[in-house]
Amino acid sequence: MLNVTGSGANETSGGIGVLPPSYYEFFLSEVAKARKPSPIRGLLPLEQTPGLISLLAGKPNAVLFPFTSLQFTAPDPNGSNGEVIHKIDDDMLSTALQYGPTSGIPHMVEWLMDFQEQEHGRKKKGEGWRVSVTAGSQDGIYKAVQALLNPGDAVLIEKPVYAGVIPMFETLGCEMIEVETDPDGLNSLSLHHILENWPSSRPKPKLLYTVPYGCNPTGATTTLARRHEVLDLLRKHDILILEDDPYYFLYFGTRPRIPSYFMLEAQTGDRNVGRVLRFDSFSKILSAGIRVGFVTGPTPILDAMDRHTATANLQPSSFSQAVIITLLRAWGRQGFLAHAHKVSKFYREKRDVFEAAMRRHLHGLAEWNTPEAGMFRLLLGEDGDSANIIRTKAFKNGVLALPGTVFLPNGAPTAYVRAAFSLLEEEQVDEALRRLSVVLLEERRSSGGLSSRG
Amino acid sequence: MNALDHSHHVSDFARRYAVSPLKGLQKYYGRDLISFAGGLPSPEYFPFTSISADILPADAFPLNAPRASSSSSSSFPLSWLWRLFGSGKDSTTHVGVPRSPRQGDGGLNLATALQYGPATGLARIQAFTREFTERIYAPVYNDWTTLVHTGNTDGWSRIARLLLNPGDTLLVEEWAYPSAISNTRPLEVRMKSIPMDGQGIRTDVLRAILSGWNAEKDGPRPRVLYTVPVGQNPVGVTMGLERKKAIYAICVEYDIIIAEDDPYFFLQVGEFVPKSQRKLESAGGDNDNDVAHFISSLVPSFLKVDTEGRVIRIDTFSKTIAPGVRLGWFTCSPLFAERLERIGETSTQSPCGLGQALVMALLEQWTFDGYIRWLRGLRTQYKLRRDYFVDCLADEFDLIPSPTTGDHDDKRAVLYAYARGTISSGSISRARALVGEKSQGRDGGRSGGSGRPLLSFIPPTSGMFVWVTVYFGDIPDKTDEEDGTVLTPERQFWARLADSGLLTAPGWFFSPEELLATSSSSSDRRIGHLRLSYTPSDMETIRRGVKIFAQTLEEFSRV
Repeated sequence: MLNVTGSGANETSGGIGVLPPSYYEFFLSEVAKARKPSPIRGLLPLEQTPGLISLLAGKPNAVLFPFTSLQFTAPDPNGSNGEVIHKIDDDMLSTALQYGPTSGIPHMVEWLMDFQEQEHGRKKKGEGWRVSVTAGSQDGIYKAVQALLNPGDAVLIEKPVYAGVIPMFETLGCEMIEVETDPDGLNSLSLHHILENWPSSRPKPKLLYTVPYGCNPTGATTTLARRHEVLDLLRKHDILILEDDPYYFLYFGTRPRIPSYFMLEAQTGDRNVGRVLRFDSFSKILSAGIRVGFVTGPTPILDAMDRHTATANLQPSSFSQAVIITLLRAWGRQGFLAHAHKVSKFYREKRDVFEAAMRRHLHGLAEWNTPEAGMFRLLLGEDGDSANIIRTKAFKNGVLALPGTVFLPNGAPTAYVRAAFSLLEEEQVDEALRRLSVVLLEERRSSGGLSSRG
Repeated sequence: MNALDHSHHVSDFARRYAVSPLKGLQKYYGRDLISFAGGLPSPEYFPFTSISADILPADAFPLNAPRASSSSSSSFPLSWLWRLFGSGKDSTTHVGVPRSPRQGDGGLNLATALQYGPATGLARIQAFTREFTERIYAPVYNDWTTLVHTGNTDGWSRIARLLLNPGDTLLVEEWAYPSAISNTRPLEVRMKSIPMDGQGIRTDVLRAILSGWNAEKDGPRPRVLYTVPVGQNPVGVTMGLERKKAIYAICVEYDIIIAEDDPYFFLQVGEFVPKSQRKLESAGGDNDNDVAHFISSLVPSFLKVDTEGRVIRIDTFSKTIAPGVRLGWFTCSPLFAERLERIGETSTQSPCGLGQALVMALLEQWTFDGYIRWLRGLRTQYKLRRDYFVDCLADEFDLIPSPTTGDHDDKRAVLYAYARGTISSGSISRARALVGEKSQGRDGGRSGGSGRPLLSFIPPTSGMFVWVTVYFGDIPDKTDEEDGTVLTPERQFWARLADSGLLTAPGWFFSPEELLATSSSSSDRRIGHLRLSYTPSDMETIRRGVKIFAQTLEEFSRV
């Protein structure tokens, strides 16, 4: 046994300590503790017993499903073999159409466990983690938040933060503690400051929510040094980390890839694992509409999330999973990564086009950093309200961007805007930024309310 | 006439959802606007370049069950069904989802299906759910609307969050779908269960509960009723129109919102008719293709009586097309729909786009009338399975009908099952006359002749389940040797069945009180329940399962 402060971790091979299930008692919300396993879903595994006759579940008879075959085509990720036809085999077709397990269809979970093991260097046996498939990454984050936070709890978030999570914290009545960010990502000094000055009279935040690659909306990727510092602080203060990483596979920087928090926690410090709950998404590389994501992390937390799923929406779509796993098994890990690489290359080219156009049109009118994943964030002057410019003048001139205020929990005015470049052709980018420059020039001339730092 | 303003029913939780920040911007979208705002991924590299499926024709299943031959009771449906299933594949149609958008395709293309979509679903699905609801359920107020969800469990889960505050009491049926109960547990909601008869919720008790409500002692008077009115899960009973009207009137009087969870609506198979009295055309009922005639043969939805917009109905494709696609829809007032959409946006967002697209491609291939034809064929299939299951029980037990005691409009019969030959031949023949069976010679008097029924049930009129009440007599509780829990006769019997190779759902799964452990079960332990699902298995397996059930029960009762 490793002697770890307060948590009594179990040691596994390789000197990695695993936080015991009891460690999570403190973290699980009252709601999560009140949830009981779904009784019928709890018995479903028994149906696999050979020879057993089951009159248990209300599953429709498979012969009554109207789909008798299912197939799709996809490009070969490794070369130029053109389109490949993927037929969903008969067993998988029944699986696709029928009710399935809460945490995902077994083939899918198995494939993802293997993938995570190799991608993040985490052994799938003995390190206390597993994978659950969710109805999109957003659904996974929502359930993690419900599983971990009680009303009124404090939660650490980035400033600015992905707008999609704000209602989750707001509706729970949580206090969002904003950690500063900069071009190097999450500012560990700011985090340090918050935690070291935390009033002893109130409970510390239980978790930090962060988007480490291509943070939405800043586009910043948290550096390796910062990640180490953040992990050390979280260990010291016993805080879990929700690593929301939808842009992980879209990293288009030229430097080597920075390891995930999920990987780092097994390599650094006391190597005491179990503090990272990682969210992956297929939305940017396979399909957003297919609504399948997956969460990787400590089993007790995933169990609590599954109990939520079992009563909230039963399971992610079997149909989507069957399509995705048929593709992934045909491609293999290497094929999937080759595809992801193609996608990220495409985004890098888009970024370069966008940035070149910004240099042409917005020089002296706006500031930005070059993202290595995700989107651009522009600063339109030192202070002022970008929402005002965007909602009125920019529209009139035929250009739309997202005002930075929507990424601030308190909705305060800000001079930032977020600019997504994924869908636009070069001429559109050029024209849009030309229009924006006209607006900004007019704005500067008329009021000076939005000063330039050219 | 529009829905009344029911904003006072929206929970504190649901009120906190702000309008989506992007929503305010949408009105500015115009022809010549270039947007950096959305942050959508580029669909160019989504790897799915086509998706297609083979589908059965809408008339794959016949409307009429073949006549049951009394001499070959065990073989008739098997050969007939197998032949049918074998032939189904010959006439499949290939349907696909086009890759690129076309003018007026309502989002039915891969580019849209694979991309992030609004929580309202594909435009074409929205249009379909609206037309379908209009034609089938005919809501009576004007401004009703529909909204997709990812299956009825998601639907009810969102309704619960929409309406319930901590400390509220939810009105539920005496026996209820476990997930529906469990998902309210974290909301700190209390349950008040209402006794049922052969038509579901008893109006006399409902009224008594509400009129006698003591707010000081019991907290706020209930504002929400959750019901599965057709083929109630687990009991299998169906609420007729008159009963629905009576319940609705009470809900108007006491300002209650009705959550109508109706997954089994199209599986309405009618009253059970004993085998010897069964006629050729008893399931689909008819051969004509008149949609109106089909609709008139189904008990109407609560929407048909909802003049004030106090019903939130949830429909699903799970039982009619396939549960794996996770797709269904709400029908409710615009005020409720807007909040339900907000609640969905932060969790599951929208149903799987590919599933929506393929279901829509299927429906368009079939056409509206074709889908109705499919539903009618499906109903025949479920009727066959219901009849077969009850016939199997009739082969194992002596079944004697007895009228229920319930509301005035309940004329359903309870069937009491006796071990074969344990009642006198006179009463058997009287019973047979009642259930319409011809008297046949049987072995007599083998299990003690107590005359006590082993179980009773009401043959289900829809759904997938037979809910049996088992009479255990004086079998004592036992204590589990490992963990010390008390094992009621019901739990002992359930375990005995499992040991004998038959998995069933025990009654306590469906008891709101036991599920929430708000009260230690004070119910009569000499009576237990089991829910038996007759849909997933093939006929032969069903027969073997019922045999195991009967043998195990007789052995268990003899101890």
